Amino acid sequence: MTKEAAHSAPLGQEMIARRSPQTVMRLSRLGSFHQSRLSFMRVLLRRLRQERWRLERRHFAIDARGVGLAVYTMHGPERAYSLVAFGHDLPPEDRSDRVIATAWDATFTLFDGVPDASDIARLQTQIPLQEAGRVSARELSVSRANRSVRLFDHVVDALAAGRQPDAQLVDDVGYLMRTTAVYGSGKLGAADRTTIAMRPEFTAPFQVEMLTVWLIRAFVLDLVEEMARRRAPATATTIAPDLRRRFGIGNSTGLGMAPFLISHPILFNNWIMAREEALARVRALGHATAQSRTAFRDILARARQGLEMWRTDHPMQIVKLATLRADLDRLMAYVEQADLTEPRPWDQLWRWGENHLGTEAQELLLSLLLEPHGDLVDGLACCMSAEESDGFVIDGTMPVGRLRAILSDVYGWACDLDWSDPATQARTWYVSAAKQEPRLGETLHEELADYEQPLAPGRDAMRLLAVLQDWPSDAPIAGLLLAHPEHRHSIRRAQIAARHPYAEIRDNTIGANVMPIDMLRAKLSFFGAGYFDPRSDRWVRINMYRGAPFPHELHDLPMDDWAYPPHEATV
Amino acid sequence: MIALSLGEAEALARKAARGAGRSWGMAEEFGRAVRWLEGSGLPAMALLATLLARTDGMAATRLTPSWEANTGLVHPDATPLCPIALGTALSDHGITSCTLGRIGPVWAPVFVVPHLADMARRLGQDYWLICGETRVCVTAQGAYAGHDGPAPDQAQAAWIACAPCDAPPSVPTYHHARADCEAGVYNHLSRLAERLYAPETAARRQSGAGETRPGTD
Repeated sequence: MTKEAAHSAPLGQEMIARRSPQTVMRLSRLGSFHQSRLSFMRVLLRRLRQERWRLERRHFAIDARGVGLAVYTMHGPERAYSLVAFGHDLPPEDRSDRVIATAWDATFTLFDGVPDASDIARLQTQIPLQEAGRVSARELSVSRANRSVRLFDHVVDALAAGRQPDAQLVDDVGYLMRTTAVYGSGKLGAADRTTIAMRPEFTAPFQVEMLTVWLIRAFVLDLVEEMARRRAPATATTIAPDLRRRFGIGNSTGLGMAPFLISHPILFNNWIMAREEALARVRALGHATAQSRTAFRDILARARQGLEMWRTDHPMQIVKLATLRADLDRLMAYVEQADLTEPRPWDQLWRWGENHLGTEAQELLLSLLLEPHGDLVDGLACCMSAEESDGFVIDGTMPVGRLRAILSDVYGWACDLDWSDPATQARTWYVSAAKQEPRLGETLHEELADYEQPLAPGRDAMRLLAVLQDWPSDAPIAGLLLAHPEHRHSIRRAQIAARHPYAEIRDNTIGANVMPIDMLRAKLSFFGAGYFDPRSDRWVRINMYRGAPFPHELHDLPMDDWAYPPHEATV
Repeated sequence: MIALSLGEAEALARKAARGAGRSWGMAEEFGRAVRWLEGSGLPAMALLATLLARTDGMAATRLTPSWEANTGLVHPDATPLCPIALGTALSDHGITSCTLGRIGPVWAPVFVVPHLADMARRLGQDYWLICGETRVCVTAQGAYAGHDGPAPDQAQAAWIACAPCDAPPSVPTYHHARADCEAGVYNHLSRLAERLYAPETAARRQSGAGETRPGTD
């Protein structure tokens, strides 16, 4: 984030400080984040609409079993991108969301431009293989999806019979297919992010992946309607537009995503910084306009309504959700009687929330406060990318004393832990030989020391701090780096964290009580996902683009008004 | 030949270096160096495979220069240095060409160039890396700007020095988007990387993410 963006505030307003990293960067809080105006799905759809991107369904040849090929091309002001989709007929016993799966109901790539016949022929041999295939720099992403056992056949059967699907079932499940991986950024031979990062449409993070998923959703809805039509041409119907929009795309996300936040500290900092800056800007507003007061009350009611559509079986999330619903009721009652015409109304509301709401509801309140203030906060999306290499070079001239002070500040929480207690280091992050899948093992019960990944920054910082005791405070750390290369990664992280206050998770990532799903949720909320449904402590099912417009209606529906259900969508 | 994305090349180099016994922080330096070299059009993958084969499992102290208060970086040993260990030491100590005399021998000297580029950018000065009859130029912007003499593709250990450059031999080269890697090189590096992966067991397999309950997906 630029200094200008990081420190600016509305003209004539007194600044309000961003929240402290010690408050924000705890795992329990990160695991309570919700989507917001700064989420990458919403950033993408705003841009596509503002720039009048249009969809061309160039090819669509799908049979009654869902097997075939489709090409969806989005045309923008300067470039075009094409989703190439392969439908497969997967036996139910082969269907698995695990990353170790080898077959899927549908496989996809996002192609840079418009593919010709030779491109399609090449992709046909590679994309269905996923990790076992190779793609080229013309491809920007590789992904796959599986059908929902609970909903897919029901929808096809209903449409074939000329009926609408059961709306209750649609809301209960929320998706027809789940993606189980969306690879971008040079994976499997695809184009590196650096080669496309300068394109305006891809400057915000994960726009390739978000565009891929949005087009997959469009394809999947077309797919079920086409399967129904092929099965029963005389009776088949299509899904009514309002119900159609209630289908999102599911996603199963596991431990593979968790290390990302630790491995990309500057990027993560910029996401959090933008979000915190957005909150600070809204809180600093001297007055609330009548329009913003109305908009806030409206979106609050819609958000409360949306909580009724959130399904989960996970004991922890059930409790969190119940508390969140009760807190939102309390918030609505407070807002009903609150005088938002007083000075600094949003700051007053925020401070009330800090004192009266749980963590989940506080973070939802943050998202809601941004909603009426797009003019003030949407521009921050351009600050959410990062050139990670900028923080790579270590300053070897830094005195040992300064490094010690940084460690004590950033990792103060770790100084307070008893690292001799086995529970403090109960877990070990490692990578399995099978498909190189990140996992979390039991330190005491498995021999994993030789395979440990560097995903315990707090523990490693404490080890470094212990070594520093033997070095004079005024000595440059270059000597230490020469003598102790095993601490090089920790010193790099500390220097990055000193410049980027939200770079580091300020919690123990290997403790007995660590919940990896907290990391997953933090990242997924920035994507714009909702309806978090943890399936264990280490993987979560979510919904993406639920309620969003489809490409063919993007320009006909209200701008960026899909993230909360419309008033009439009560279950 | 496998056309790797630069991200893949960087990740493979990082993992292979770690697999060959380097610390995580040094392994990150390997990855970044490979990305910089391949992105500049300089071949790095084959040299990396040779370098790691020759230094596999060696103690870091044998591959790293020493620092003397009066003379700066020195290497009294005959064992060739690791070029990444030397490059990071140069970068960490903020050394200029004025304080760096000839040093060596060092394996695959071109691997020092990315760190020299960092120094050049910090000092605002174009520099040569000199190795025998080969001179490689990096600019004050931290970019590769061509070489004089034989191609800088030497895997053998040699002595190096650096010196200010007044006239780069070519305009800076950026943005080679792919790293071509011979299958044998790729396989060798992959085998080193695989040392990081815990062997699969039934219990470990179950600990991964994904639905195991039927009818709920």
